[in-house]
Amino acid sequence: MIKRFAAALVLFCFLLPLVSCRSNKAGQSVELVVVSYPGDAQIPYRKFLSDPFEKNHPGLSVRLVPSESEDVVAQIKAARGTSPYDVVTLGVPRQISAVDEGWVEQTPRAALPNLAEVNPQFIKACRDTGIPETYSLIGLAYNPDKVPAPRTWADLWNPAYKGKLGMTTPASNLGFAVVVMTAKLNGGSEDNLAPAWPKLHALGPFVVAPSPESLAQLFERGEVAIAPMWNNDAAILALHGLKLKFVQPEPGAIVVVSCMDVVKNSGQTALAREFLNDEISRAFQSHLADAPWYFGPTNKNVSIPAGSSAYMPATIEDLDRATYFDWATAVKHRAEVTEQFDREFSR
Amino acid sequence: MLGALPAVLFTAGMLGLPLVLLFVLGFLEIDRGVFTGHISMHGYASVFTDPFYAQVFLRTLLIAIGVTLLCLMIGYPIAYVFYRARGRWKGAILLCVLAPLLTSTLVRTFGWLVILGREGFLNQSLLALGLLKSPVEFLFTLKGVLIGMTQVLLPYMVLPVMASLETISPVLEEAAINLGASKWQTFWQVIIPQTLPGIAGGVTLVFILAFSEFPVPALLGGATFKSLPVYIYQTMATLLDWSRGAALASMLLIGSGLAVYLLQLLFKGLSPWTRTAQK
Repeated sequence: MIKRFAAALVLFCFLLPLVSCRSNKAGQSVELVVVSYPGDAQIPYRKFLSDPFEKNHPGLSVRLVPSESEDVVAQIKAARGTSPYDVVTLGVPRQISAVDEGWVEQTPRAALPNLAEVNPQFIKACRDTGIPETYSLIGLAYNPDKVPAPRTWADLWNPAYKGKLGMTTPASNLGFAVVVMTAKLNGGSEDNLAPAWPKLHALGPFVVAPSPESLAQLFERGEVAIAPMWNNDAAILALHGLKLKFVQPEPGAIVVVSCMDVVKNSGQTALAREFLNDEISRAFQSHLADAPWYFGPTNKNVSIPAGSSAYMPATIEDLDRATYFDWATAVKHRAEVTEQFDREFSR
Repeated sequence: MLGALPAVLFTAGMLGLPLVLLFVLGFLEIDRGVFTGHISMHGYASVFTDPFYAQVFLRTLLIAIGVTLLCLMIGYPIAYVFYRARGRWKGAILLCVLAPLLTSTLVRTFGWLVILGREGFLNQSLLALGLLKSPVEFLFTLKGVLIGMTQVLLPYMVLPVMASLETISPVLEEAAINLGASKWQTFWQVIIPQTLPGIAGGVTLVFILAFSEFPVPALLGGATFKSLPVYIYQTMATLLDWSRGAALASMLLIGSGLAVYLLQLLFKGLSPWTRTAQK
């Protein structure tokens, strides 16, 4: 009995690596695992990037994994050097931490010829490691049947919105940006977020969604009528028939650049770098910027599509007038802000 | 004896080792998900000296007790109706009890999200019947979490009680009535004591599951619902403070173990009542 058990255990130990391996030897299938967006926002990535990439590389399979950035970070760290992902998409606040903690590679610029077409201000935002793949805006989404249209960020404190507001925790970039914005509107800064707390309490009661995507369900079920939201999410929800409008509030919607990086020690580094280069190509960036996704193009040769003004700044000058935060300073306070938020608004 | 060794080793490896690692993780110094190579009491110290976590622990305990009592109050009558039912009714009741177990907790909880919403089925029905003037907040409140957890955990109470009711000999009941006992006296002094082992099993199961329940409070209570499993997730996955998360998980584990021990003592204390009733 013991012998049989030992034999089975040994066999299991031998078979496990064979089942789980992602081989890159000639003639065998290879898999590139890319962290992407959840829901419909993933469609352009599959249709115009990963599917053509697979066609150009016979035997390769690109797996787009929809995931929240905080879960991705936790999984990569738990894996301790054997990351389950090859390429990660992270908003700048998360990417800054990833670079500091050293688990994404500094992709050689020579491997990214398309980078020459990318707006330098975005390259700088991604700290010159991976690529700036898109930019998105945080504005206010509201149900026009239930509440009046907001015009400024300060309008959030309008009594007409009392009890109808949705928020996300600062664990997400969306929630964190709202805390920073609240602090800055009230005399604080990226390094002094304390003024945000009393003002956030004055906003209550509000519903806290676990993630930006779950805000959509809250709108759908009528739990909230106004919430800070990503422009892409608002555009996709409106396309699905949800009664929702998006406002870029004064003094400006918050711009957050998304970076795409190769994870250190990825078994598919060369393919991952090639994937990054395709991501910033003019052709793919044009698809991303198009309706209904409205991801901001970082390739300077891609023009912002006509008719996108409800969700994006119409010109590059308008984009310059949007709100940018010093994320490198703000992220130093992220852990304490997240914990404080959980404690202060727990119920 | 030696034949059982593989099973013992397997259980010890698969169950014991992760638990030991969990306790040990609480003593390691981990900076944003990376082990620094140092031993530290930070994880346990921050959990056991911070009154906030004591509050969260107490609230989680009270929620578990509340859900257990609700399940007992609703589950016992269901099991009793099953015991009394005959023919196809018995099958129908059993199907109703087992049906929720055929779907995952997550799916059932999403169902409650639709039912309990401000514009959900429950509020709309109560408004239409004129029982409410404005919608009641069920979602993201303790009320909603209690409703969801009770529904999800009800089968774990009903099934053990059903099993113990089925073992009662009908002769005992007839004897009690023949000796002049009323229906209430028969129920209280004959049926209930006989089903005490089933109640003990149901209460213990429901309590443990309610105490460590994550999906229902996380979905129906919202992202900031004060419950220990929700905080463990946030500490581990969001704050990446694994040593503190491990300390919180140890707190949950010790709390569960202690509560089960106390429940055993309680039911042991009630066992003379069972024996008296059996005499």
